[in-house]
Amino acid sequence: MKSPLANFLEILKVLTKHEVDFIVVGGVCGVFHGAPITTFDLDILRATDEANAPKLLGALDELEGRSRLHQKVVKPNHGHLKARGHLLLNTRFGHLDILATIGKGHDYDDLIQQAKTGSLQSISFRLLDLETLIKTKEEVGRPKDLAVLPVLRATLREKG
Amino acid sequence: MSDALFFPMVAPGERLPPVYNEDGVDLSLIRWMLSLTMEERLLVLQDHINTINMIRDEITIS
Repeated sequence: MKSPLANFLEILKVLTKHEVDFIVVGGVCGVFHGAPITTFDLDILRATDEANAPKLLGALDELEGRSRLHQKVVKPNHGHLKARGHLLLNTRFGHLDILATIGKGHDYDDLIQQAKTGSLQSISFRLLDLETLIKTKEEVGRPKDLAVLPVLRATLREKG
Repeated sequence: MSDALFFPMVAPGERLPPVYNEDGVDLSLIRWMLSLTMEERLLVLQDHINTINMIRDEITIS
């Protein structure tokens, strides 16, 4: 089966069109800040309040979001969002991971003050600042997080 | 080893910013990425993903 062409900008456009409250985190966030790293999915930290759920589900319906853990088609629903875990999805524009927390349990409300505003073409969205992205990866300390930390730290220093 | 010795395109005595930091990170790539707009950085990433996926989908190794 052919992989869908990754187009994270289109995913961001659909999320903003549906007025979803989210912060871009993870590797794509690092790339936005200028880090020369590669990742295969777009990670977003979602607001977990009741008002955000229908907006997120509407966006995921338009994106044709499906669990990538299943062979059969499993669409995200309200129950999945209430569980506050990670939703690992395929969409028609590539892989999208929707997270309720990052680092040591930080949620959207904890990190909204550490978010910057990114503007691309016609849209604006929030992305985690580079200092906090580094901090959350240090907190988790998994090998995959530790592996990227030297590049993120060097990027922060080069930005000055 | 100095960059001038390691990189033959750097002339002896030519002073350039260090290429690698103490972790071995290539700072020239970071400087290049920082010279791009956010949109250009995203396109670089997407091109990488799509190229690797194309190779993964189509490659045969015998």
